[in-house]
Amino acid sequence: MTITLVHYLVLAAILFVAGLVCLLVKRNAIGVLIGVELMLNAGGLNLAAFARFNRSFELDGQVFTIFVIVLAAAEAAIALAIVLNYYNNATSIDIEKAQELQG
Amino acid sequence: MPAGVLLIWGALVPAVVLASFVAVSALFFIWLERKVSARIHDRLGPTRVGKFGWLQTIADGIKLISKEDFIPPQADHLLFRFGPYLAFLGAFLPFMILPFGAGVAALETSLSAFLMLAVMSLEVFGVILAGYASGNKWSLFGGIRESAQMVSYEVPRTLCVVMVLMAAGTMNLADIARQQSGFFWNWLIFRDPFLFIGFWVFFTCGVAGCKRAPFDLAEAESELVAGYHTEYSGLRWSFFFMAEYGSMFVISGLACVLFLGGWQTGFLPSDPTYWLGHIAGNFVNVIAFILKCWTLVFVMMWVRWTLPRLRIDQVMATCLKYLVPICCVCLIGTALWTLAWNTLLPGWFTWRANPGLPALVQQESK
Amino acid sequence: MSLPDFIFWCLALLTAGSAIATAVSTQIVRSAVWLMFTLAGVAGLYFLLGFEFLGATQLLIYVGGILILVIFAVMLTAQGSFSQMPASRGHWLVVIVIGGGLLAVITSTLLSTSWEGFSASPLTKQTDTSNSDGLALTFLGSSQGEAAHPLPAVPGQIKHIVHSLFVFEIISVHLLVVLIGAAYLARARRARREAA
Repeated sequence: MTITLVHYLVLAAILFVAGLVCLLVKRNAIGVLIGVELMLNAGGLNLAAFARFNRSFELDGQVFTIFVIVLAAAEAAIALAIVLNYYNNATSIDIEKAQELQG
Repeated sequence: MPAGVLLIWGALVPAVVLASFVAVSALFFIWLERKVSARIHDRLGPTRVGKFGWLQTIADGIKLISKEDFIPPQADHLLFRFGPYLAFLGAFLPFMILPFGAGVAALETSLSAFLMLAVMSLEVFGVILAGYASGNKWSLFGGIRESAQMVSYEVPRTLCVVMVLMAAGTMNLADIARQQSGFFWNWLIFRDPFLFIGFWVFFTCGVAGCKRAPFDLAEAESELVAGYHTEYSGLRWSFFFMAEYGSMFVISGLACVLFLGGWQTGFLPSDPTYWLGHIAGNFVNVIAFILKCWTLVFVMMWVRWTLPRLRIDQVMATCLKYLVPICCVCLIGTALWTLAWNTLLPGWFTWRANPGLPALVQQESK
Repeated sequence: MSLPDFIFWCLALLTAGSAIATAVSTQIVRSAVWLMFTLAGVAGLYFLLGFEFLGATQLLIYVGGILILVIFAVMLTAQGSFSQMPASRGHWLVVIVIGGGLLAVITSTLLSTSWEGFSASPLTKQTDTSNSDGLALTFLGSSQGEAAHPLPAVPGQIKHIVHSLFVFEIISVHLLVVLIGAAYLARARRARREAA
């Protein structure tokens, strides 16, 4: 059985779902961030696979994957700054305790 | 399937050769470090085991292997075990990309400089992990210091590499080395004043990246016992040591390729592979490359036993307040210099065999 | 089974296995370590697909950058060594139902779609030189990317020319903004502490 596009897409789906589970299950704010990183990776893998299996998307796919990677880096930097700030105010990174905005 | 078997053999042989090279050169470096430090202290160093004590490291290695493999009960066992292997992997992977001679590299791609930067950034991970998993506050401090230091020093180091890439017009390390063939004034370090500064900045960042004194804050013994490897003993500890000496060689090798002509001897008019054939010529090349790297490693040892250790705030200030601005200025300077060579003075100094960035685009348009 | 396929299965197993371990692990640093294996696996898949620049970028930015940042944040916010924050059992049940359902939906959709135009055997070895040069020229907004790397015309599809200079500029400005933003957040924290 040769490897086709569907193999890559199913793998990306597994990554995405793992990321979603991570996002929903973790109570640690940094854990949520890790989940988001997994989901973004799934997206990047999808784009790269599409780029490979249809040659007319070859350059677009790579450009978009790089875009995703850079966005993930930016998101991680800002999110971690926010987490550190929150930890400084609340001395905890348990997101279930982050209820100040609820009123 | 024979093609697949051939591919696997082609992957395994360089891996085994390089792994044994890393291990043997670590043995040699540990002996050299002892001798150098002893001479600088006006001592003799190891003399008993073998002539000039050259078997001392092997004796120590046997002692380390026979030591108890102790994992402290408060440690995170899984991560504690991962740490040394990850550190060694991060030090070993760059060897796969390093060109030892003309065509003597386990992996030669057009992106090898970029790939090199990528895999060199992995090494810090093992150290941080070891510091965290030991369950010891001194180790944790060592890990945090190490991560802060490495992430900061990666910035000027990468900028220095980008400088060379701009001047050379390629990301292929082997091509960069090929451009510097001939006499030593063809080396990129002597190409323009900005690259000359760039080399020293790069070397400083390299020393900091290997956690060597005066930047060895991650294992500052007067403050942190032994930093991130306080809790390690025996074979695991020796993996950290092999990683350290491996990464010293790698950073020296990268400095050689980028600035000091790679495998070119510097006093032969052309690459010896042209008139000695591929194998004999590369024999000369590889010897020249390794000797150059050893010289740089020796300089690192010399620095270690000469300069006092910096404080952690001084380490960060050196990087962020001095090295990064210097690098930015040199980056712009190199860009302008390259542009000037290629536009204002076309045809001058063509013996430099230096296409530069605009030439790349022209090449593509043909 | 050919060698690329075998490597794909190895990498897929590594990636998927460590992704699941990332999600399941209760201790945050272990999660981060499994995340590292996942990211390295995805980088390996990029290399396998022939996109060396993507693979190297993934290693450099994710493993060398983001992951270090994550672990750094974990160390700065740790309360006691190896703190765990497990979710409740009911929570897990809901999450598994949602995740399993989503995976089933996605997979069944993927399998029932006919992937016309996405050929099954493109994993030929091509020279990576043209590949990354084309990418570089695309990012520079040069139409020579097309010339250096001509794309096969697909019948019934408009052949478009890729210019990504704008994307490149957006990425750069975005990163600059993020840099300033993160620096601002860190700075604001220090100011507040002095005021208190």
